[in-house]
Amino acid sequence: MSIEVRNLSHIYNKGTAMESYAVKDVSFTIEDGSFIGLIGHTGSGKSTLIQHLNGLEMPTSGTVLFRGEDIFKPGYDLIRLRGHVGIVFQYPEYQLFEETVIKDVMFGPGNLGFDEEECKDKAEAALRAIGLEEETWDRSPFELSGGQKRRAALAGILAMEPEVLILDEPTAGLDPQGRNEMLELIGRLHHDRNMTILLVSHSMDDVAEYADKILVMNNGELLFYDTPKEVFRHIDELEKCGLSAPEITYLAHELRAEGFGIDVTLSTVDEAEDAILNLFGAGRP
Amino acid sequence: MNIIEAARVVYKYTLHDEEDNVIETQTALSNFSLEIEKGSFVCVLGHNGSGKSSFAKLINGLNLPDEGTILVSGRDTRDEDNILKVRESAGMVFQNPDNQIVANIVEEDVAFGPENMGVPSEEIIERVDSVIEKLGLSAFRYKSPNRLSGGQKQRTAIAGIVAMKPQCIVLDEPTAMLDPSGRKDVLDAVHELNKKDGITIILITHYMEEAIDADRLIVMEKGNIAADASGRPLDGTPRELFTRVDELKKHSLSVPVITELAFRLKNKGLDIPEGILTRKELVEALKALRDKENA
Repeated sequence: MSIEVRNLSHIYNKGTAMESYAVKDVSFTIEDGSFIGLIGHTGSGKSTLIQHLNGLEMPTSGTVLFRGEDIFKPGYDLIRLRGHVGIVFQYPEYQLFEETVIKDVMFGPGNLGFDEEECKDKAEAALRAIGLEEETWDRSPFELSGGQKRRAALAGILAMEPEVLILDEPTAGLDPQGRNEMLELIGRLHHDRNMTILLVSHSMDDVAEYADKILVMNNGELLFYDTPKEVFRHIDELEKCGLSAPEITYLAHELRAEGFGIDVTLSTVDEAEDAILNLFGAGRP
Repeated sequence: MNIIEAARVVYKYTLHDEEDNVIETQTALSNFSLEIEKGSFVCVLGHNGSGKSSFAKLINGLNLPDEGTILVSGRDTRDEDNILKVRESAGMVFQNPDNQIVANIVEEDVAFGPENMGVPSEEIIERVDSVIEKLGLSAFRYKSPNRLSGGQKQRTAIAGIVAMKPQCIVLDEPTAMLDPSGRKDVLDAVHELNKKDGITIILITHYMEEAIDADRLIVMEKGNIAADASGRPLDGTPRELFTRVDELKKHSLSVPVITELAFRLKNKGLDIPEGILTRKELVEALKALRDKENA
């Protein structure tokens, strides 16, 4: 187990009239090498929750264990932890600041204490991994296109060679092609490097497609933590907390209501294609 | 009648370095012509950098054309005497609601536009009352916009525009930062403004599902309306456009999930119609197919 969250609570404005729970008694475990989708309405506590996972926020009570060790105990090396557990925030391109792309990407490993040469190697490897052409490396990050900037910002985290990568809505504002490229890139990092991924998303279709398990947050509490099939069974509860099921799941329910013998837990286009072709005995002349 | 008439518009923007020297000039729109009918619901699609947002900002005079003309309700946006009238008739809503809200209380934010226009106070009160009701903001009327969800904030921003009684609202990716229910609320509100009040809607979006219910879709590419291999412009009803799945993909766009599924089923030999857009249509098509097989 990579990350263990135990009875974590975070209260904003504690002790004042404005006191409110951002995260309330949440417990779950993220296994090594898994791909987790995190969904929840705006203000459900997703962002506060993920900031605890590498010690950017301190819990009011409860704790987080990384490889069995309590990250909030005195003396724990949080800087090192942030190399292991990288967070790519929303609109990360706004955080690019260096003169050149490569310098920006070298900043993270530099903070972890690697020397110039090592930083450069790591940065180049990261830039190759995200597929940014070599001729852009010495340019100002501000000359890149929107999609390129976002990938450069992701490279800045990858250069620290994290084992766990947390991404807060990495596809927001990208066009469909940019969105696919980003998701495929994340899928590759998961597959080829066995990186543990936690993907915060508002797209039910995307989490259905990519995640092994889905965490659902509602008003600071953990509502579900299960496989996409199990989570999307609960359409009514999801809708009550401002979420939805994938389009395909709704379609499966509607087909079932019309008497088709179809599995209502379908959630991706591939699954639906196979299931419907089966219904009609596909391949038959 | 057309509310927007763009004729051979060229729009360029320049990038400056720290010393304010021009480093690059980009052409965002090149010889772009388009007419939009009053009261219609038009969706503008296209990948990042295709010129969508430049066009949006030309409509209410935030950008002015370098060549050609843009007429909004017959008024030329380049004429300084027109600019306030142009902005009253064409309101804009942007992606991030936090950047568009100016007041500390929802109702004050809604009143800001008409106040600036010099609307008499009794009428401002009337307008604010009706707009707050219309956009379902009554419960938050006296609250700080900071306490609202993304969808509620975005509806507050739209309410502020509607209070100016525009003939046309341009929305530039208004749902990009919202969760599913916020996205639905905003779209429902926009459709209602179009149907009930006849306000022309120009919706720029990356979500193909949001485009299904539009009257007309326009795909932009390199600062102009995109065309397919045979030179036919990608401009038409959702059904016409979403039937051309391969063409759209070539322009880095996708099609709605259900359309994609129907397209694949048809390619695998199922006898269903082209251009299926909604779940209901697909369910009906599959039912018809079942009946035929059982007959």
